[in-house]
Amino acid sequence: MQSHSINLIINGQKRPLEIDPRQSLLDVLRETLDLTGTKKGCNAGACGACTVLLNGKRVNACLTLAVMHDGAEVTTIEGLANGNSLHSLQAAFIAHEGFQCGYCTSGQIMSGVACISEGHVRSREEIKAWMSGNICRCGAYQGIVDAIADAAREGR
Amino acid sequence: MIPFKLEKAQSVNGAIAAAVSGARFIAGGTTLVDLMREEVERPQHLIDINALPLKSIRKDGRNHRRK
Repeated sequence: MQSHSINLIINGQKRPLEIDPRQSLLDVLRETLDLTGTKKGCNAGACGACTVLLNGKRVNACLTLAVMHDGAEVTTIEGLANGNSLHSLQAAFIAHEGFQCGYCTSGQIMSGVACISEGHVRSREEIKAWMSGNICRCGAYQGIVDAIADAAREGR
Repeated sequence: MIPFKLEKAQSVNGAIAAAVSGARFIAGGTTLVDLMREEVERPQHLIDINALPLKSIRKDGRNHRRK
């Protein structure tokens, strides 16, 4: 199988890659680049655990082929904090207990960052609707919505 | 996933010609990639149409046109 040379800008850093076209963006992040903060839940686009920002938009990294995104900017959970200073939404997840086991949390936070930047935070109902692609089987939804609402207020 | 060849479409006509010879279009891929992983879909040739200047779908009489 012919490999492809692509460049991805991962969390602001240019990463030249030789990849198999069958590799999902998720597998490139986790297996090639060892960025295991992005989680593999269902690997079928149903759970949202693998949510990352691709050129600023949220996507399920498990369902997109990395080879299609030469030159794209990818932001993962590893790229949110500024040194030791957490992103406001990361801090809000801690403050509001927006997780229990933590497996969905990277995806929830990445999706929440986009939910805020898209402006879909005018009510709890709106946040719930626009976060519906991210499932939490521990049922920490109350805290997740609280955290996003809080971080959105702070951002204003 | 069965190996495949992936090409980026250079033009609408080129993409259509590739599809006529058996290539599958890929845009978001959210259904196709999932089905390829399960080997339900087994395309040998994918044509990535993201770069084509096709930005909307409109109804034109009895037809739907993408432009």
